[in-house]
Amino acid sequence: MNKNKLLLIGWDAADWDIIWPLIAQGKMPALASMIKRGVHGNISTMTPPYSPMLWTSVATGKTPDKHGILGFIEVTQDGQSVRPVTTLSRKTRALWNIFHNQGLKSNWVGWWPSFPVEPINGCIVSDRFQKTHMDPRVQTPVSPRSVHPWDMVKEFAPLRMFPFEITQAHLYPFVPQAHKVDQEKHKGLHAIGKIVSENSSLHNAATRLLRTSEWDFMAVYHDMIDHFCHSFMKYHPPKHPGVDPANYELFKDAVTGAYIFQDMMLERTLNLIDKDTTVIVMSDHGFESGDKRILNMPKVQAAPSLEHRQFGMFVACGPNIKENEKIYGLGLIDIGPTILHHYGLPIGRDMDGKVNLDLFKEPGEATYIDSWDDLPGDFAEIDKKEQTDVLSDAQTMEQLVELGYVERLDEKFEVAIRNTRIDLKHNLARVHLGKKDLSTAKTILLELLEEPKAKDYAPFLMDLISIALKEKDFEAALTHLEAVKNSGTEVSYNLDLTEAQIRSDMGRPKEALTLIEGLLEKDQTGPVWYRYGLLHYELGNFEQAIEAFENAIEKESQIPTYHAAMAEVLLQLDQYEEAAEYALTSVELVKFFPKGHLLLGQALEKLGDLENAELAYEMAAKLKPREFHKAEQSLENIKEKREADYTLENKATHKFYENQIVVVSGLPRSGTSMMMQMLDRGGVDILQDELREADISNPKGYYEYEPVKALYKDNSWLGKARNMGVKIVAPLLKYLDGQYRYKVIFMNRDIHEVIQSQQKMLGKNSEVFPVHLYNQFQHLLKSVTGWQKIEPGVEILYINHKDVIQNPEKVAEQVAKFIGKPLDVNTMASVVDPNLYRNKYQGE
Amino acid sequence: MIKNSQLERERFDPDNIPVEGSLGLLALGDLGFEAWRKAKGHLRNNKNIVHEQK
Repeated sequence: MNKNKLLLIGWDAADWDIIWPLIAQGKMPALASMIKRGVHGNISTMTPPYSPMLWTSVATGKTPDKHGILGFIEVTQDGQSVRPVTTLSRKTRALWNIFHNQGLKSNWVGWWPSFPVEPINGCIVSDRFQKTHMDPRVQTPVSPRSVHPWDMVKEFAPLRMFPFEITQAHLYPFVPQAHKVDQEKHKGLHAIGKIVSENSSLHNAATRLLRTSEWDFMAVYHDMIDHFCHSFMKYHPPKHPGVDPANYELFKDAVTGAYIFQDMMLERTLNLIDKDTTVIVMSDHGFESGDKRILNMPKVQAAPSLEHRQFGMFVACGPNIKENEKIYGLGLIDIGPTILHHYGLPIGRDMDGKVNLDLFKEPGEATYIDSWDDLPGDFAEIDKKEQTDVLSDAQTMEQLVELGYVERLDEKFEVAIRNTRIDLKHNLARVHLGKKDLSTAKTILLELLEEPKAKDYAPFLMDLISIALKEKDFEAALTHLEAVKNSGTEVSYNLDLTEAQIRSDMGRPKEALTLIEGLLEKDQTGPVWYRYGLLHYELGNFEQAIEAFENAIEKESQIPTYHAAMAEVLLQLDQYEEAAEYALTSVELVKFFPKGHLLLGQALEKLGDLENAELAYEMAAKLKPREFHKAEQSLENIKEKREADYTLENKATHKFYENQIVVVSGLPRSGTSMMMQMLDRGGVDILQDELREADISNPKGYYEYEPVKALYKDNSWLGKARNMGVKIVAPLLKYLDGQYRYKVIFMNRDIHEVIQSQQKMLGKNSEVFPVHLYNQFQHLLKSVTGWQKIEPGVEILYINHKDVIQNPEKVAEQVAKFIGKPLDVNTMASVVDPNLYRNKYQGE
Repeated sequence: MIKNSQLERERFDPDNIPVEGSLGLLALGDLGFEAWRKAKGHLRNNKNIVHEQK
């Protein structure tokens, strides 16, 4: 008997927020037993979170642009019709093809999409097998090609359950007062009948295979939880203020009933496998169960998926799986490669997922090949160009319409075909957007704007706005926003909020603030208060920011970013205990929240709890799938601190970091050029282009580098500055790329002198004192202090301009020590020319 | 009225299959389902069925 079997169970839309309370009440004992024996954690989904795309990513390890399943429906090969999505749209090999080629026997039950079946070594009971007619009295035949091998249909067909078989005994556990439901007005019982019968059919097929067949791998997919959630989550406790109280009383137990029933099926399944079998239970996304529940679905493509949450659930147990551990950073895209690794098979380098070795007691080493798609041999594939009527499926189509995923097909088929083609293309753009391939996404979206008869152009424009913001192309963002306003869309986007974000990103927080203040008169929801708080934070109005975040939290207490924002402001105000509490709440809400852990670490570090701060930083670094420089730098800092056994208010450690960037900063005319010259002479390589020539204001040169001026929109050149010195004025410091370590020498000079010097340089009357400029500069200096507090990669040495003039040798020594490498301090000191100190402030 | 107790897990007892069925029986999978169908009489006897014309 095979000792390396793996059973993968998919629970569409299952979410920890519902599961944990049920486990606490002892109502999901099967899953609880797996958690105890194995690992569990969140699993992150992908964009857009449409189930057929996601489950195909699980089965291929690839993103939808590569695997080709882009939505719930597809245009037929001849371009003449549309139908529910089939395997014919898939353009890469799935795990079942790979297993077949490798001589492994696999069974697949209900996988979406697995119809029409492929002739693999093993058995496929496809996603078409269990589909029932919308009329509950009708018994439909088994669709041809929905089962492989076909001769097993005789065995499976009698295992299908139909809605007409549902009795009150099946309904009452979900709706204890089912007899009170007016079925003319509410279709809830009808939906339950269909969902329960279809999922029972799949469970029957799965248990039959588990009992009677030999296999190496088996997968079973259930849509029960997802479908219950779409129909009944609005009635789930706590009562949503917008739902009818009578319906709430009738249907409030439906969602938990679905979870409990699913767990009962799991219990039976676990009883049918041996102890050597590895089991995974996972969902493809979560489901909103709090304030974000949507009562009135907007009329956009696949609208119900707006209720899908970013994180699903994952549990695994088995002989080589760690026990009673929580795992972090798992992505849905990693499941396929991880399963291949379990069997000792190589991972395709063209796969987007990676092997999650954290699951395993003995992880071994992942092996790779370029691509499974390039390999010759028998992969049990079918001719994807064939056209056959059996693929059309009125029942599935009708169900997708009922659920709201697709619109009822237009009588004119050409309209339906065009809309489907456009929707799939838009989905492809969103996939690229999710992969941060902005250029491809933009190209596709711009093509969609050229479509002569799209239903609604606003969704394309909204995506283009988000791309423009990421690319800092604010003109384009505003143009697209204007186009949305004029598009006549039926979707109610919060365009004021979007515009406020654009204005804020443009560096015009005051304009954004005015917009939000207007918006707050009519819309006091969490996101609006949150944006209001962010703007006040950016403007340094910390008290107003706190008030706004408090309001946001009052409106939506379950949003971790609101709590994290509060923690960040409190850190600025040196209220470390409160900051730690808010940061802690944020990570309690969502463990997978690297920024929350980072803020918690920063608060704890300030409170002197270095041990726990280190743990928080470690968690932040671990959670981020790729790199989280701030967390890694914080960890490095705290380790140094603990080793040195002393406390430094300023992070200046005098340690030289390989690839560090020395930045000279300050207000313009605060002596930055003089300091650059000192560094230059002292032996620091300087990044400059000498475009700006020396003049009377700076007779010894400016030491500037032109790209610095555009740092706010492009900081990609900073890599060139590694192990060098560069001058960056104070307002631009916040745009530095967090991946590097910076030693910032910040020149302090009396603000009166700075202003006087600037006025003189600009040819303005230096006798008239610009009060507003004074206030702005003071605010700027304050913001630099705040910025440094939350940037672990930044060390600042404040140097007084006057000290440089009066005691250049001492300052040179201080600077060399700060940079952490030997410099020629005598030469550095010799460049200071007291004669150039011309704008002394004489006091009031 | 049937109480909200049918979400209880059931042991498979072929001699004691409730005709009205239960979620516990359905959770048992193929064996529970077939036993229940046998107990309530084959679906052909169900007069509510409309066989779809293909």
